Amino acid sequence: MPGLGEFWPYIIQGLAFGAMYAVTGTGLVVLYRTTGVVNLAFGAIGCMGAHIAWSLLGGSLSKPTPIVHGLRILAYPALVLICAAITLLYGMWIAPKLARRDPLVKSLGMVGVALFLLGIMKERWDTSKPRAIVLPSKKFTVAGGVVTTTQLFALGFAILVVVVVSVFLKSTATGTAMRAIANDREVSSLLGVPIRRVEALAWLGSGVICGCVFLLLPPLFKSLDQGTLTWFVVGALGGAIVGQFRSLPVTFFASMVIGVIEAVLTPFRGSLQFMGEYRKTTPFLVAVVAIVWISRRRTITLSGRELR
Amino acid sequence: MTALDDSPALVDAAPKVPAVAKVMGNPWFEPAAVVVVLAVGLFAIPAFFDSFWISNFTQMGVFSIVCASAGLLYGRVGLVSLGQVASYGIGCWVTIRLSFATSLPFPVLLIIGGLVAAVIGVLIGLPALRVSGLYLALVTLMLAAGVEIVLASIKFPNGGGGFRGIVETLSDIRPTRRPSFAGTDTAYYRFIVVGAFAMFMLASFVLSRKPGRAWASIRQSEAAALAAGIDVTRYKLWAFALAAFMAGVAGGLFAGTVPKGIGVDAFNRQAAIFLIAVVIMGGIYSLWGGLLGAFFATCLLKFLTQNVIGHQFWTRFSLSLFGFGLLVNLIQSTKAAEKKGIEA
Repeated sequence: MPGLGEFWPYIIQGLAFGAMYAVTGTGLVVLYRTTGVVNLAFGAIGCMGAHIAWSLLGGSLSKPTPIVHGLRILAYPALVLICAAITLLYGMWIAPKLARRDPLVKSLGMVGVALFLLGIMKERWDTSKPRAIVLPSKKFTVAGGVVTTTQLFALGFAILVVVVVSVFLKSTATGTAMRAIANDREVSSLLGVPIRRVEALAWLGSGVICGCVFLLLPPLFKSLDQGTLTWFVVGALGGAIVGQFRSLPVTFFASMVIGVIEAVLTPFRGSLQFMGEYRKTTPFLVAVVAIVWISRRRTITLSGRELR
Repeated sequence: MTALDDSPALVDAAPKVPAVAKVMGNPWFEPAAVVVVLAVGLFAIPAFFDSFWISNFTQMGVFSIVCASAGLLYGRVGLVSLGQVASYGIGCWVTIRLSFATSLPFPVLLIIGGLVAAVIGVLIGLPALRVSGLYLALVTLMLAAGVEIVLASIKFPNGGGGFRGIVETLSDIRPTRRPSFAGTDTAYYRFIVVGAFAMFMLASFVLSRKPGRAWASIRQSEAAALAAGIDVTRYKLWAFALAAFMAGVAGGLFAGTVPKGIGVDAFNRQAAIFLIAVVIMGGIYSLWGGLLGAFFATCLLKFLTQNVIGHQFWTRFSLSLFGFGLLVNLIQSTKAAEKKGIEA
């Protein structure tokens, strides 16, 4: 059993990754509530944006660079723009064609997008070569543990996103329209809510969040591994599932807890070493337990709609 | 017969059954098709194709069983499981380890691998019983991801002695034992064709009996099935067990196809997602869809690479093509459903 002080760096690391799970979960929840789509291509879209940004940066930024100069700095906003554009394009062009299908089929559409983008990435960017995007970052010591500004920024960014999105949904006309669509799409349409426009905004917002996550995620992973980044979304689903694709605060806290548990299991050695080896199963186990808990009082009806 | 009956409008309105539909509707069509496909698989392919294609058709045979198992759950019971690759991986792992640890005949190892996968499939099915649709897909995806991590952690497949032995270097990994009567690649390919045929027959047999009718009822409406006295829980678990058994046996067959160095890549999250794309493209309402999906995934791309373009375009963009194909399939099926006036 490692000493308590040994856990500190892992807690910091876990909070940073939990923050990324939380922001991703927020993007997933907002889009799901508005459109009924679980964006399983979230990671693929972000990974594609990150690879393009890597190329724009000269394809050589594999070491920490203190100063990003000249036009290369445009690679970072370009990453966000690319993610937003791909997501919006799908939302405006393909998603309406599947709008009348159930959430499962809509989400399988995103699987198609993920595979499509992954195939392009595998072909265009040789997977055998290591590459990374590293943001300018400083290290400092807090209570004996090393903390990087990227980790702190990730944590602050997650809190900011959850607060801003929550306020947006509660206090603005568009947010109210999004909640109305989430509640009942058909009734909202009858009441004059511009469904297509609000959905397009949700897609755009999800794309922007995706871009922002992938500004921070490759530096935290210290790699641009296509498989890891593309399927990061599967782990992030854990928090969203605990929040029942409904509650942003629950999604946030569940994601943070998952991130911290996953990280603090790392230093176990000896007879408890297996905990470190299986630590990556944390989001999946949490999600499975949450789903079983959520559905413990499932009621089915002849109309096929499930009641809670 | 009145004048009204003879009016040209009514004569024209009489439904015309296309010739193809007539042939396919014949009760002898499907058995004949099975015999033809089996004969082609067992005799024509080994006679006319070289070792490169034998290897591809071998992969197709294995993958067709996995596709059929996922299609059976989705198309016949209405359960979308993204966890079939987990059963596939577990069957593969059990067969490999038992082949190192015991001297049991290979077919017995396959059955044990399938049964272990079935037991785990039922365990996976237990939490999944309470959910359906999107949540079921997510929970099975999560479980598949968990199994992937476990397989990676136990250094799958490795080739040390006994059930848990581990060797340090890749070159020391021993190949999985094949049946004594199927030592060559061609003979093993024929063995896989027979194995796949047996799995398809098993699925077909179960579908034509009481469980098949119960699954059809559950797929239409779970509430109506309950009202009709069908034990929904038992039949759902039965479906999970059968599908997992098929995938487990496929995993065991797969173990014999690769001499050494099978990684977890064949059973990871991407494979789980890829499988469902292939299954949907092949078709979920018939077991033939499994064969077609496996053909798309293994042989078609190789055929295009070898004969149509002459360069690696098709292989390089294979994932993209399947992603695109899945999207087109979903959009077309939506259009077709809307055209029929059915709420999809």
